Amino acid sequence: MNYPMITWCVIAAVLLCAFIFRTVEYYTARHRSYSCGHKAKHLLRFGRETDMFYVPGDDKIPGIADNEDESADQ
Amino acid sequence: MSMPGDSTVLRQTAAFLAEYASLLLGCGGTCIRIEKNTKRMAEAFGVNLDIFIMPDHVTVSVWNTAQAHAEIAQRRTAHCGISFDLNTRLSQLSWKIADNRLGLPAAVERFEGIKTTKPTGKWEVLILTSFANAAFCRLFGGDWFAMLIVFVSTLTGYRLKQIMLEDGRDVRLTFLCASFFSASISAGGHIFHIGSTPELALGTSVLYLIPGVPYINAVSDMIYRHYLCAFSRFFDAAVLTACLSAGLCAGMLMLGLKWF
Repeated sequence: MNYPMITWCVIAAVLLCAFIFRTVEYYTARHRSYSCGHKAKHLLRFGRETDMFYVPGDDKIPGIADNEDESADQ
Repeated sequence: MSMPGDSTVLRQTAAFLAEYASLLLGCGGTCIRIEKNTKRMAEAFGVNLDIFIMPDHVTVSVWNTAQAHAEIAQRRTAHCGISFDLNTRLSQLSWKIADNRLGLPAAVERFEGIKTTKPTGKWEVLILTSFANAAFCRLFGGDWFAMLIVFVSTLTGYRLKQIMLEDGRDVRLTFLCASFFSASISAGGHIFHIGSTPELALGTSVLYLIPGVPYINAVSDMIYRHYLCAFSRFFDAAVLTACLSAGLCAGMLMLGLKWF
């Protein structure tokens, strides 16, 4: 196999992995939401800076933490 | 009985027309269509109207025939994505209001019904887009193998686009990634020597990403002298086109296809 063939196979494999990963994530999330009764979270996701710098005991930022709790309950 | 000149009725009429215009702008209506539809409905309601359309906002000014009182309503453009179905239903609503002389409560009720219109199913769109792009390949002279390659590359690229947009990723990054993967997958025809027109498969594999509606709307807005909206739409479309070109070039470079 030459260089373009290897590159093409790598690109196709990456895309295939992305689709498989997404499908697994979707079914896992659906299974969790059925069994636990609340919305499941992504396996990988971008966090907010408030998640990174929040120290237990800090005042909650109005409208962010509260909303998240409400949406999780639904 | 409330008359069209009442302050409350004027306020409600202005709010309804502003909501209507923002939704029509958001679903891909041109400025001239928005102007015509809202004026048609305002005439049916027995009020005068002036509308000010900006790329992100719509301002509607409504006043009574005696010009004694006016109300202004401003709404942010709805981000609902381009939908011909929604566009058609909204236009039909304006004609129903004008022809049947529907009152404001009946018009609002029907409008709320239209707002809940579900978009076309994503799997349906995915399959039909892939077939359409394969047909494009045929139109440009591609053989059956090229069509099959384009079908598969569009299917994967478009699915990637759907996933990234569902996850809330930036639309420019999404276009770049989708075009990169579509171009790379379709380059398989050239790399593995499949079919007699692999270059056509590569060229047509990213056509589904061309933002045609914003380009056409930009021309329409320019003809009717809505220059700000025209430039906004044109540059939005041009940026997306640049992103898809970058993805295409990146794919070709990575696979060592130096055709240019």
